[in-house]
Amino acid sequence: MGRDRDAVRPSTRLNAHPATIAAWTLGIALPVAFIGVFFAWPVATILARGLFPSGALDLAGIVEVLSRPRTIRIIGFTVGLAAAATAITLLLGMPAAYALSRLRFRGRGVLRAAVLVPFVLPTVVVGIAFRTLFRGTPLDGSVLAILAALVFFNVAVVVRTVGVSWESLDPRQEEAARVLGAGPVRVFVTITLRRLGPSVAAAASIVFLFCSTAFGTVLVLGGAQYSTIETEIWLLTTQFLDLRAASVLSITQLLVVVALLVVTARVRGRTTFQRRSFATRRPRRADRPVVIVTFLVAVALVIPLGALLRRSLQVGDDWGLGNYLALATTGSRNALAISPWTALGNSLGFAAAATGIAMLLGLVTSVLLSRRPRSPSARRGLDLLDGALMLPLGVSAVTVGFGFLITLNAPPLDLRASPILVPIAQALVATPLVVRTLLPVLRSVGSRMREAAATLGAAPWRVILTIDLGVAARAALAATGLAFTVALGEFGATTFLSRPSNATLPVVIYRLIGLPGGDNAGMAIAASVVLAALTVAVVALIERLRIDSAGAF
Amino acid sequence: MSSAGLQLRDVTVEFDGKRAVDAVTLEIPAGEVFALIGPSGSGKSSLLRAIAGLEPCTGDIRWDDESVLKIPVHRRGFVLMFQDGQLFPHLDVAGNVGYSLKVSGHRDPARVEQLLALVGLAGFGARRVTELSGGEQQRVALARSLAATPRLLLLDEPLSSIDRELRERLAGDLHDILHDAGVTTIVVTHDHEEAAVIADRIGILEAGRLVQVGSLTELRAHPVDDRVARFLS
Amino acid sequence: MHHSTHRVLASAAALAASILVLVGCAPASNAPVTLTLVTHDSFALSEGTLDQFTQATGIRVQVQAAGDAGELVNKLVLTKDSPLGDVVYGIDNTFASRAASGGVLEPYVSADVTDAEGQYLLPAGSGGEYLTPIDSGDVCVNVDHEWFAQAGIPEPKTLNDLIDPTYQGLLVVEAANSSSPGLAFLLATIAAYGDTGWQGYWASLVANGVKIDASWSDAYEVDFSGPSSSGDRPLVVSYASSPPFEVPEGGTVAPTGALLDTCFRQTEYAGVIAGTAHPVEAKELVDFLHSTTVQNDIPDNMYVFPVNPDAVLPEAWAKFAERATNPYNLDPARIDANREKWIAEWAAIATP
Repeated sequence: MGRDRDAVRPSTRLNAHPATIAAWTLGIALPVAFIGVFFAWPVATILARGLFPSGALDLAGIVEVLSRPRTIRIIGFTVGLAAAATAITLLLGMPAAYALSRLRFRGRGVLRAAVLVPFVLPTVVVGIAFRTLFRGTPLDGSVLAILAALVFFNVAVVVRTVGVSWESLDPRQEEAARVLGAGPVRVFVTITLRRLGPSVAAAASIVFLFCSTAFGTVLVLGGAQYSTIETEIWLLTTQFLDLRAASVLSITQLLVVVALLVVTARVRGRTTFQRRSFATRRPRRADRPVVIVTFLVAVALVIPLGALLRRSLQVGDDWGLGNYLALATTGSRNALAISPWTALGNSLGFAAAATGIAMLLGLVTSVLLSRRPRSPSARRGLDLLDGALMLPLGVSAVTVGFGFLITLNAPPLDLRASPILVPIAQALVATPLVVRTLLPVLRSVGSRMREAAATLGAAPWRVILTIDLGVAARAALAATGLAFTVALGEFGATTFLSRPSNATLPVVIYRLIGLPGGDNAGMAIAASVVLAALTVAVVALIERLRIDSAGAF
Repeated sequence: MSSAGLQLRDVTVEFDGKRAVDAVTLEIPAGEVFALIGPSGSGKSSLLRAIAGLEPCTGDIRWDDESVLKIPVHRRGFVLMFQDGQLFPHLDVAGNVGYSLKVSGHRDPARVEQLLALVGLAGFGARRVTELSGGEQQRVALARSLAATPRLLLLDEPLSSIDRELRERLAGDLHDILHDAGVTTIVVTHDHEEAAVIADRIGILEAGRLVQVGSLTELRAHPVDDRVARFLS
Repeated sequence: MHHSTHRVLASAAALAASILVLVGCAPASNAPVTLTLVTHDSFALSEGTLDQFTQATGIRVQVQAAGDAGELVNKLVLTKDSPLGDVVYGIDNTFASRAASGGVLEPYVSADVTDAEGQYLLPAGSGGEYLTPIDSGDVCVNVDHEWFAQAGIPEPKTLNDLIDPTYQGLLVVEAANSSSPGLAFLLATIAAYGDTGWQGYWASLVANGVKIDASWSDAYEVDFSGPSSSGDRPLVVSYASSPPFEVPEGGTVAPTGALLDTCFRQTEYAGVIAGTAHPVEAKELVDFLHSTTVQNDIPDNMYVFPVNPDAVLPEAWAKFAERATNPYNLDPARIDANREKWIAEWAAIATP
């Protein structure tokens, strides 16, 4: 086919109109400035303190840190834990991804919700749920408990990412192979898996990213025995102020994250974005094991939450709603500065602000990233921006928080005491998820559809409004919900930045479990149930909108 | 000298130093339906895109003796209809047809209905575009293009995604609709029979150069070279 | 007419002032002084206590929590060039030396400190010139009286008892690298067994089945067998002030108790942050934290003992809370110099 018919030719070149150029410049400047001021600058400054203690690179110090047996052990443990968690997540997630994207059966919607909800649950809630579940068993405080919680979180990533591409695989290829005499296993390995390869690899690297940077889960469940890079950075920074060692570990973590992002981008780049949906079908006999596994996975995912709910209704040796009624109080012996309900109000306020910021940044950035400018350097610039946006997912909240302290310390940016840092930090975490949700949909729009709109008389801004955002409207709604739940549950940065008087619900929950008195623990669990219920409600709302693309990384 | 309609003067389109369109000069009077034919890769679509303003080019493109090169795509009044229609999936049939009216701030449901009737899809307004057959989709795309009351309509292989039998019928319909509407049109196709049905004149493009212009009969009678003769046989 | 103009001007000025404060500019000199009190996360006082300071002096106080004691000190050291606030509360004796040597404090100790508080004062060079004691608490092994009564085993008394096979698998402690009482317990053992002996003691503890949890709540609320927890270990490292909380309403007998021969004393201090723009007012605030107004309010809000001998303890405390008469202690300078080394050694023994 000739050059003139080539559909993937980069196009929608930046029109030379000055207003257009100004708009694009502003569009690029907004996310770049945000990431620069609230992420790159603080993180770079704190890392520089550690690596350039006297102005020159402290190579010997870096080597010393890297040769400590503890450093080596922690890096090894982190990578091993993340690899094991990723493997188990894939193993459990793949059947669920298949059953939920290709089969049609009763209860599929409920199973889907059960599988997808954990991803957005607050880490504190998950930590408490697993501790409640494993209490008194040998699993309590073991590596297996951490593994279980990490898998619990991330099955959703596999189901979403792999499910979306499984949905758009033409089943006739498999059928043809079956007709030609290939067994089901052979068909799966030679045909299905090969075509799913990129999305499986993308899912695996994202799960690995989340597992290797997990903080709250490891801290709550791991006991003292298990340190990961992330918890070690926290320890080295907050307790020892050993910025050199913390910086070395941060850089190590950043390198791993960047490597993962490059791999993900590579495999994502090879995937053609053809968003088709083939009809689902009723399960056959041969599908039975898959459906059963999916069912079991869903049940396993619901059990910890069930344990949490059960415990929340226990008041002393009786059953009742006492723990919930106590949410209007500040806990026994004034454990809190504010009641959990007030904290919930704070959470909603912060999460709304964070969602606003994340959606503004996410929409602007996604629209930018969905364009493929002609100039290779502009394309590379956009790819860089894409990667830079993902980095906050891989940098410890403690590093960012301590960075804030030594950078945002002079007018007009003396924000160290300002509550505005809370939604900003939450938005840093939520924005990449917004972009990952919107971008596949926006990329599916295609330059020629925009060109068609332009020749019909739509100015460039009008094309964005009526075509890009028109097509992505439902995905944008899903992204809004995702950003909101992520902000609602964010713990690491929020606990670092919020004050007792404007604490959020996760922070209050964490404080409640840390204070004496049985009533406080019950309150913490009831508050966790409330937070989980709210999160589930938001997710259910999104699922009702039937947006399957949400979270397709 | 002044003339109504489209004038191309030495229009050249380059990709990475290779000429996709090579110094094409052509005049199409207002109201004419002109077909551009040629083998795959001969530069037909690139020329069409350059006229629409979607590809940078050198030379000059004029309408009613005024250069349009500096006018951005959305103000040229040249509507390009793609081979696969490029219907907007989030809008229904009426939303697609009425898009240009909405964008210009003149919503007009009656006109939308009238255009749907013109392309033989009366009453389809509330349908989702994804539910339509290939032929129906192209009819909607045509109605959508006509709704913008373009000065110039650019059709890029409008019928190639439709099966043969239907294509022959639609080619006849297209001829009638375009002539009834009196809209100046360039239609790109690689099928000279189809070109002859739809258009008044035919231009042949080869390796980016416009090698011959005329009616199909004239072209067949006096092909400029062997390749043209072979292409038309 | 004049009146309303004034009001408009006044509100405009107030608005301008609040904008200035919002963007971080120093308020005009005649505006009331607002001090920022940087504290650890556990800082809490009854509502209105700080208002009494404002009423008496006209100085406003804004509280800024900055993590636990270690994090608090480290943040102060890190932000020395542009201080986080004017007064700090919550530096304890294990971190005092770092704060002092880090140059983050103005030399000031409240003149109201009396000889009776001598036991809480820091040595010169380890923060003695900079820090005013505010409260103190003993970290001790807590014991579940009911469990031992039912099991018919005598309760342990000393650190040495804990490595006796009689108490195999009964103790749960917090990790020294992630928990403040955990570190305090490690320091108690170092004080008890010395630089070369504590490692062997910990090896014996591990051999005797000690469980090491990440946080106080894990240990106390999950693994401890006391009334407010659900675990099965009757010995836990907690505070000497924990037993009063286990007494049921109207109860006369405490179901748990503290082993007073196993305690390490943590004292918390307040000081004036170096570089404050309001040193005079900051000193007034330190004095206020040491006054009985705050001191009486401390036990019920922060679960620690006030240092001021004039302070009045709450009833339950007076009845059930005990204090070690001879707690273990270490020189803050020695703690600061060895903390990381000790924790690393400890981690190698306790968390292999």
